[in-house]
Amino acid sequence: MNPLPCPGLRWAAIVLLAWGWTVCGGAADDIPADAVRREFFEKRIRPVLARHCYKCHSAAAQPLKAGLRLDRRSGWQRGGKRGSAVHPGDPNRSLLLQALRQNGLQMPPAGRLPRKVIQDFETWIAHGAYAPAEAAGRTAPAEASADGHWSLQPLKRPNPPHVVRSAWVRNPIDAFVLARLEAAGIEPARRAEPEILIRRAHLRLWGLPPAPDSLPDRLPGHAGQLAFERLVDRLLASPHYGERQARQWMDVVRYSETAGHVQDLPRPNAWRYRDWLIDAFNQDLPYDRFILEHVAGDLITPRFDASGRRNLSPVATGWMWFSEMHFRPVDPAQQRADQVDAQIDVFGKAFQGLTIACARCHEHKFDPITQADYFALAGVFRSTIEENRYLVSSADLTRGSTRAQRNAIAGKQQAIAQLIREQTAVVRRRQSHKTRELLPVTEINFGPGPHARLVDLRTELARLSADSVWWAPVARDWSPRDARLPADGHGNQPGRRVPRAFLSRLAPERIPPLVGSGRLYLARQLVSQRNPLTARVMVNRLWQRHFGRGLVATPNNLGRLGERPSHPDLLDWLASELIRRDWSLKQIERLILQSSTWAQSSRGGSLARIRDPENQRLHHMPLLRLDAEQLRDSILTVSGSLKPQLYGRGVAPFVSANATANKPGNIPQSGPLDGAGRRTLYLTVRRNFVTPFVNVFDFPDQGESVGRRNETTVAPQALSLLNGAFVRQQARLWGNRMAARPGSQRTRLTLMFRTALARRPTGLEVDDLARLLDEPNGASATPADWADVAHVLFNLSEFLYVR
Amino acid sequence: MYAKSHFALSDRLPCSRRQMLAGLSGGFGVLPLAVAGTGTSSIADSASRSPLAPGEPHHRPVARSIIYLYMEGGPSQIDTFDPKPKLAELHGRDLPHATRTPNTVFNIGRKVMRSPFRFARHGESGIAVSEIFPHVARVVDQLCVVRSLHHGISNHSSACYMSHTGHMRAGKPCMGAWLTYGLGCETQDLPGFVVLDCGQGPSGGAPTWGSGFLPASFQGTLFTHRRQPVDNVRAADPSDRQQRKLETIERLNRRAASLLGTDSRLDARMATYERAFRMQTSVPELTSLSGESAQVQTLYGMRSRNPQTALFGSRCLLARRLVERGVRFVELFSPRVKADRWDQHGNLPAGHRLNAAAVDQPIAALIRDLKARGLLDQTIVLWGGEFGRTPNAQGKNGRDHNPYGYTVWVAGGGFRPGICYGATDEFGYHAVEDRVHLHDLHATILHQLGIDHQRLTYRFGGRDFRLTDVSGEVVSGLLA
Repeated sequence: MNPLPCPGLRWAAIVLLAWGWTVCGGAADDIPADAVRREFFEKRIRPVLARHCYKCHSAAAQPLKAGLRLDRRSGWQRGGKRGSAVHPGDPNRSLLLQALRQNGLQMPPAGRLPRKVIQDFETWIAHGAYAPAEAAGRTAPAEASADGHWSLQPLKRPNPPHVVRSAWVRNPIDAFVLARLEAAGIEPARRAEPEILIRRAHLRLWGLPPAPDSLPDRLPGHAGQLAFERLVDRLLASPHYGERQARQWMDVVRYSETAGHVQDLPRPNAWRYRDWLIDAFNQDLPYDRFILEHVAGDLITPRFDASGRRNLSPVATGWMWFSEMHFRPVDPAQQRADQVDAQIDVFGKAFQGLTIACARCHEHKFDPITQADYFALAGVFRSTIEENRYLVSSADLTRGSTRAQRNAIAGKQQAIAQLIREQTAVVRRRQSHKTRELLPVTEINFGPGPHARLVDLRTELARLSADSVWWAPVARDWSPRDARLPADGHGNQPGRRVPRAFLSRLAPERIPPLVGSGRLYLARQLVSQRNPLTARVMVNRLWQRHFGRGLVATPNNLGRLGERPSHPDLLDWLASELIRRDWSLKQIERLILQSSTWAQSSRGGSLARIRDPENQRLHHMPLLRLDAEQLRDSILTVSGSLKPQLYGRGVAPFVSANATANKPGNIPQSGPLDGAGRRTLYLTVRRNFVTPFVNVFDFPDQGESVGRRNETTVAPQALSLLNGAFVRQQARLWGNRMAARPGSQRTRLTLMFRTALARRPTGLEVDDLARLLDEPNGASATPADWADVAHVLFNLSEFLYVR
Repeated sequence: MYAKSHFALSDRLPCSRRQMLAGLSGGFGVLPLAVAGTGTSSIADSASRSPLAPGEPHHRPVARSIIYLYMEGGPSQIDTFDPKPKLAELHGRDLPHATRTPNTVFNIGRKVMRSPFRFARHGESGIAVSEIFPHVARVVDQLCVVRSLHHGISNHSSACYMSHTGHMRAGKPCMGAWLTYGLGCETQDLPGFVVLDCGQGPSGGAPTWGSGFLPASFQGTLFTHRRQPVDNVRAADPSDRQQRKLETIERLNRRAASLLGTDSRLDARMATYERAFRMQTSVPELTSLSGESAQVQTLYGMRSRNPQTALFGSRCLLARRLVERGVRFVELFSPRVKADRWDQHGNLPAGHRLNAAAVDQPIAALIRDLKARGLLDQTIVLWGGEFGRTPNAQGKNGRDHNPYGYTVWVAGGGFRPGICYGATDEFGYHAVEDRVHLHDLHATILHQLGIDHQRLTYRFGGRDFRLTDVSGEVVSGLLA
């Protein structure tokens, strides 16, 4: 049999190796044998049972044959008419295996299963016929939650546990962490030096290094603590905070400003969504409102910007339109279905930590998500289309303009409307009657020429109205339509109609038919007090950016194939705290930053490293590598080139001479090497032309929602830091400035060191750098020598890692 | 740049976990292939868990590397390797009603167009080859011609993703990424997966050689045909100056070691500087073809009067040098000619001639050269586009896209030489006999490289992905 596509054996489980199976992978530590056995059961046993046996031997069987149920452990233990079907540990005595071997009994009736499958059953029974507690089995996934997966249980508010070393506890976070450490007999690491905490806080909250003059004098004890808390408040209040937060959320919604495929057509003004994020995080927009606007921003009470004229809420729905689009697909229905699939995928992962899109072709194999759930959501998204919308009222459009300006504005508006009408008709003519009903026409469908003309017209319109005419790609309700379950998995043969709804496990009650697309209903379900996932998913994301790993290590998957939480009570406490504090993300961040847990040194004790080598219990702060944006932004900051300007149209990515495209004309105009000094999140994200410097440092692909980036350590990183034009340019700029600066060499070297690494160098370290300034015959150092110092500093491990 | 053009090397990290597992599994045979990822990302505080170190194959491999000659645009099967006399018979008339004509890009009429080219049988195998491939015809006994490939996706870019990643949407790892992920690479000083262009990339853009959700280190490294084929590999400093910097970096890193603590990533990072340093020599040495004899250069067509032939010849020669040095996967994109890429919606006679003339001699030379050096047995050479073309005409003398039955060929790597496998219907429209889905072809290629396509998986977003999605069978009929 073709093994199940979805789940796989992930662990290099010692258990399995000992059993002689060839599986391999990553973490063997801390993974209980049960997890491995469960996965074996889920991957190799249950799917076979479900496919070949359930029809006659499960709760759903009509009638149940031989009194035998194979959809729950008790079923095969008790057995049917002939007695127990499985003797754990003894394959040869197990009737089930005799039947599979066609030895006396002959099952399944359709014919003998492949030898490999039968071997799996032998192995499974020989090793105890393990089945997870809840694997009583399920014919309908909803049953699986009978015992209940942890993340679907109602949110608790656990009390912080009692700990021995209570002096270490600065807030409840510490109590939860310390309790687990004490249980294992591990001491937390000591508090890190102030200069370390300052660099850490800057890079975590801003993604930028501290200015050398922000390094404090070493204040002892309480005063130091207060100074640090003031710093945290200052960092949280700065607009750089939103820039950092926004970029992490952009990974999750796979932010991209082009549509991919041959033309890689731009999605003009997609960056309004990026700006919306920055602003929302900076305003500390309550997370429930954040979600409401993401899912139904066009349907709720407007939220205006400072001017009081622009409605920002709809802009948040921009995330729905980041998927790839071919302007002229041969199979438009397939493309539309794929677009909706991508929306459901991001929706599920981003807000609920659930892999809902797994249920497109079959019931979810692990989580209580039915295929009907999937198509209930698909109905909602199919009833939603993309629209480029002005964010001001038509009265505001011409406010304060002269008559001539008003006429010009009206002219542009007419021209835009006419072009859209014409091009829509062109696209419609290509479509069959059937697809016409199903498919919205989007501006991408117009193709390169008309698409570009439309962008030009809108740009002119914006200019005429002094840029008061903001427009952005947003969601709009279309004529509501339920989706049908496919009879064949691809939608070519529609089956039963599924009313639009939210996941049945999370909103089990019957609802009246939804008005409109149903997005507003979805949004309200997400932020409902009884939704167990929303708050957990988000506080986990916040935790991850501070500790490198979330309390749940798989932030986009809190389902059964995700990791289990390392500190379940802490996760619940933080989640309930988020709700209690009116969904304020900044307050949760502040709590984390004020904890002793966060302030730990990155150098844990040796005993702790032996007892808990993976640092699951958080006995030290892990050393974190700068991500691509932090690294590039740090270089710009240190060299003095960073433009602190916020917001706005993206800067075109630098395109090196070594670029290729299917036609030379498809290579976009290169932007400046230094990205005009803008922070990395302002570089336009093009699907087909990624900025090489960020790409090499694991900037993610835009194809999928990414909850946590890969981290690689490879030679191309060294090459781009050593030979890359951008790094060398920045080193030169910094070197020139330092060469021209008055002061002794050692003073200047010390300043450079502090600027790059946020600590004072030792004398030996200054000596090492000073040698780079030595010229033969005692000549004085050249700017190129100073650039060498800068270049060396950019290449240090200490620059790339945060203690 | 289409732009993922940095080196993608599978750096071998000091791998304490691997060693630990190897120790534990000592009695149980070799440590198996790194078939599993760590989910959405590698664990930040444990580089030793890196999946980058090379793994062992699942079974004894026949082939070691693969050269993919990707013919962007969709060469017509019925005008190259799948002759259909019936077309001449029905030329100018409509296809019979029994022949399905699914939607194509332009939804052309049903009027049949005969091949403008003559076919002749060649070699001992007697395989028929179109006159536009005179050189390839002479090595036809080395080819395993698959005439029944299909996948049903009609858009260039979607079919391009399909051909490379097994999925029609961008964002999944391509075959080269999967292979370097699964097998690592045999060279320390070169990337494991190299992409060679001739001034023209594929319609799918950079995601065509991307690593999708696999770590970025598995994506292809683009070597353009320009004088500096890849950014950042040439030392930007005079050697003494660079040496001084490198020494200072190392010294300061050592001094800071006590502050940063023990972390295998830090050691791994210093190792990457050593490798980067070596690559500054190894890459220019590799890409310089001046050491190759005049005879070899002539064989590859580098002295041809046709500049596209000369260019593509130099790329094929470079491909041979790459696999010689242990690079796992090399992909070549067909060169730009004075016509569209292999996408003749009109004027197919001239367009296909020009495209074929640019690649014919270099490809034949590559096969001969690999054979002569004893490399062909362990190198899979795969030739083909993202789909074929329709037997019915578009306009006067063009053809539309046809993903329902088309031809690719494979040479070397344990594929059965001198055969034609499968067949299309009498018009060359639909694969009807021994149909081979693209997933089957991918499964078979992985099989020859020692990989069970069902077991080379990576968990991402809650499921295990693989190159062949949820299907694919090894086609034993293709194998020697």
